[in-house]
Amino acid sequence: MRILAPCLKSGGQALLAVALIGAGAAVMAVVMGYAWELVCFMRSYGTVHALSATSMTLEPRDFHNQFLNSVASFLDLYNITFPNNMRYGSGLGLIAGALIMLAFFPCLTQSAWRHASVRFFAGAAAGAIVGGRLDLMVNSDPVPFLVMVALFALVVGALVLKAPERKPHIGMLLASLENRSI
Amino acid sequence: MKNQIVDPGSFELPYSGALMARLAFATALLVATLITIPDALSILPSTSSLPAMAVRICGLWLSAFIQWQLVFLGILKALSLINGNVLVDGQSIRIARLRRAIGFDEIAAFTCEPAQGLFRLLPFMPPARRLTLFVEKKGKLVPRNLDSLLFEEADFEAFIRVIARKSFACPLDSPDVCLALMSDDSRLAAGQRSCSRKRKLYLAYVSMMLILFCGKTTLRNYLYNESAGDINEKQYAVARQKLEFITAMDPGFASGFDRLARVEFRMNDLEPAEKHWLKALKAKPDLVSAKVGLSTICMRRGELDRARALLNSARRLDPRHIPTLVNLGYYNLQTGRIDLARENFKRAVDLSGGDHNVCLIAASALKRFDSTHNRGVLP
Repeated sequence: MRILAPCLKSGGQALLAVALIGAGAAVMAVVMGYAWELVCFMRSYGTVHALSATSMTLEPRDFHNQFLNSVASFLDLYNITFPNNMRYGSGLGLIAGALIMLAFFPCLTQSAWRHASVRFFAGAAAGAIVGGRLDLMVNSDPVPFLVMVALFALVVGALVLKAPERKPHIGMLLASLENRSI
Repeated sequence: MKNQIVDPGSFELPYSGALMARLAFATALLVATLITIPDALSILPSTSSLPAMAVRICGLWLSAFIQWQLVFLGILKALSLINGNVLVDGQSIRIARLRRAIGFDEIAAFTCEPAQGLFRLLPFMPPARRLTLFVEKKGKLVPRNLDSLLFEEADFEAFIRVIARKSFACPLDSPDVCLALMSDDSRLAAGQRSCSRKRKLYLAYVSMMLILFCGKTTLRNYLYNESAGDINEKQYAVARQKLEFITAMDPGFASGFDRLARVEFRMNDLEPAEKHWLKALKAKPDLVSAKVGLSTICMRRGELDRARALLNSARRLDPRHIPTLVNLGYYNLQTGRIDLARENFKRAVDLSGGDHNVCLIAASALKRFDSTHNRGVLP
């Protein structure tokens, strides 16, 4: 149990990292979605608007696979939640939110960031969000979506895992030089 | 000392995340303002009143500001990750991860002066300094530049002091400095002149490209907006001419291709319409209106499977797009699924809030099949 303790601890921190990045991206998506709706309303103020709907449901798709059906439902939910101009804004928000949370994560918890698993999962979560949203620019099918999510998660996770270690600050070198000269 | 590797016991001059965000904010303010001026001209044909103009300009400014801020910050962050922090050890400095290390004994001179040009235009930014290291290379002095914009002021000053100590064994009183091993070295003045000339050329190039880009975008958007008026007045030939010009000018303008295809479709010119809708989709694969337009052509030609695929894809991308529902209704009528078609039309009418155009389309389509069924459809 004593051997497993560090793994459990870093596992919990990895989950926390994933949750933080997901939450940051979701909040940014909602904020940017509404902000973009407002911006586009302002941009086209006074012009003739195209027809737009207020509510809509989609027929469920059947891929004969429970998991794929769930992913398809999730994608439909996203498309229904962020229609028209909100879709672009929420995309900007998702990508920016994930990357901002990833960039600020080492500042939030320096100790957790030292664990390789935390770095990998944080990078993978941000990569999955970015890859998934990029795929939604082209289609809303679950299979290519999952492929892009997996690909980006692996690549960004590996990149963050291999991030170079922080070096001592240059001020320390200057101080040592000035002490030596004194 | 050539190409020396910085040892593991090195020190770093880190990029500041806060300053990156500040730079993105300052440049976004400047760029959004610059871009909004030509954009304001381009919306003139489609704006009816002064208050509408003011609101639209605010919207344009905000959209440019938000997009620039996020994208530029992302680019800065990505570049800083690729570049890596500036590394310094006992013998050398490495300005970028992929560039060779510069030995302290290779530095023949260095200058650190207030940065000129575009940096002065940035609002809310601390005054920037530009460090130029003159490095000995095959008998020539090669300049290497580093701007202080993305570094904390104290860190950058410490970096300059380290260079002065290690290369010239000289403590500094002020960070604005010009130090050389030999004061009568004529190569230094020549190098400084060359740097200054390059900077001016670069500034001229950037300014020219900016003017060309803004000019092109303004003309494109102006003609695009003007074509909407022509279409409303049913002057399709005039609108087509304008749209052909702007799509030739900007082959990546998806909305231009979409509108051109729509005009050609209304002129019953199906082949070019299909070609241009395909081009619009190539430029922007999630352009729903182009998918719907293409599906109409497919249905006219009897390519029902292709039409169905396009409509399903459009519906997934934008479930509230009413023209998609209307076309799905047509598709279901053509394939004999009257009940589904009726349901599609009913939804389109409901979602449009009883818009008379949608009602008319739905009623006339259903009338062809069964004159009694449309009663439950129309509000």
